[in-house]
Amino acid sequence: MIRYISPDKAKEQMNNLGKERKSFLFAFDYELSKAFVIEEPLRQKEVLFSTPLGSNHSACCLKKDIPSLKAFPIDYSLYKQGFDKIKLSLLRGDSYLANYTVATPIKITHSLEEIFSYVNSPFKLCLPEEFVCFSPERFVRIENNSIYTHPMKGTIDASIPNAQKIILKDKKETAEHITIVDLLRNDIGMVAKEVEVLRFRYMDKITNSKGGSILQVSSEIKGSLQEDWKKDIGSIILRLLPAGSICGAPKESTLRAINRAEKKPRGFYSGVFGYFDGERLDSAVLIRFIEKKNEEYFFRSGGGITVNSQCKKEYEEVNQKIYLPL
Amino acid sequence: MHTLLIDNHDSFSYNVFHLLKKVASALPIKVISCEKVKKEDILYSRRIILSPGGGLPTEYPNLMQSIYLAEKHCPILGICLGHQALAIHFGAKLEHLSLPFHGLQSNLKTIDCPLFQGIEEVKVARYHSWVVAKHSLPNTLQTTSLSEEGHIMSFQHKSLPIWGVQFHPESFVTRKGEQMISNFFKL
Repeated sequence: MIRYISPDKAKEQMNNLGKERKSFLFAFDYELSKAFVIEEPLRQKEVLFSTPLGSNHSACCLKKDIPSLKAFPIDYSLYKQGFDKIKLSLLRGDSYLANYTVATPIKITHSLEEIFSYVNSPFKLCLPEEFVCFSPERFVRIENNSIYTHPMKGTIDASIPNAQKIILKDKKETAEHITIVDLLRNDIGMVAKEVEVLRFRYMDKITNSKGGSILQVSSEIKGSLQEDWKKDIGSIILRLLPAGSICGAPKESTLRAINRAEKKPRGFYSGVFGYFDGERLDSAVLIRFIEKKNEEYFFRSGGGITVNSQCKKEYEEVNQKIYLPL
Repeated sequence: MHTLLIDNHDSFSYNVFHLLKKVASALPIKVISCEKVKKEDILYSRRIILSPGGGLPTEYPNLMQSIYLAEKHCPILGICLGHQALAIHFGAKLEHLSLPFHGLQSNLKTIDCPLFQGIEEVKVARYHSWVVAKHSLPNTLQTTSLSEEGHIMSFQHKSLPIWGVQFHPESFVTRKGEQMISNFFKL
């Protein structure tokens, strides 16, 4: 059984391991009520993980029956209840951008561990019988003495003529992207010096299993850390939480607005996890997330809401995010 | 002595902090949460910057009290919520916008004033649901810029070194924000 500890304990443990340059895997939940740290995680199989810096899982045991899922979207009226509360906070000026999420009941053909093996994603984490996550979104990366983050906001179907031009000119997308860049510059500025935006609204083309592709808009922000950052590695991560991209800005009053709208705790969904290999750290936001509760499964998904967001469109978007990237 | 940044629990305060560090390295910069600011903190300040923040200035009683203590003590720059707090302190009222401006870049129409000295085209980032109501602006304050829709985007006090900016000089998409802060430090 995995042992959960308080975020403060996790921070201390990470600082100590960082100082000794010992590898570890870590995760924090969204509410900052629990965390875990696993020393030398490549040697254990209880928690499965995969990051660009390392993985304790090899894709050797794939069977032929590909997993699939069936979603039972929540009622539109239920979605709208929470959405309206968020909208009120936005209009009042308590928030400029708020991430509103829901839990959609699903049926899956395979176990969480099996889904972990099949899905294609740079960041994966699985606590068997609890959840599996296949996140496309990096939280922060620390290498040499620099910390990097790559906020992603905005996607468009790449097959649309002039897709790149359209998304870069879209007013709502632009506003959301500016907000998230300012928020993450601020957050990186809490732990680093000389914060700069290396790339603003660059495009990545992502191809999905059906052969289609989307354009994903991101920015890259960099800050300089002290040379001895490894001894503070836990403090640095905890200071940045909850991750800006899954709450919004201003963080404090937006968190209150999200609580009012969602009512239930998110748990590890939209928390963060990461891996330190003794030299470098890479981490992800825990989104694209399937959880098991009693004998039921839920797919957690959400989206950024701004004053210009339309409820119907946002509802469609949270439902579109429910799929397995195979 | 120090430069005091009063943090109204905002998520852009560190952007303001880093901008201040670039411009004003001579004195230490002290960041204090709005509810924790004491009289001594104000009296030790050479300049005070009021950060942005969510909600309304009246929800920040100690911020309003700090303005009361600081108004005749040293130059003050209020950003967004800080700007609105200053305006309320001097007797103005706020007006709610049915369509807020969140994360938008705007061109401003400016008057010849110290804030915009050395800046030709003023292009700024805006995050606000409220504006200082034009008709309520007291005689002691002078509007220094307007948005294209005619909203007050900045003001200066006519006799005290006090400025307010509705926009965000610390934003990535504000051009010459550093120059504006540097102009404030010439006061």
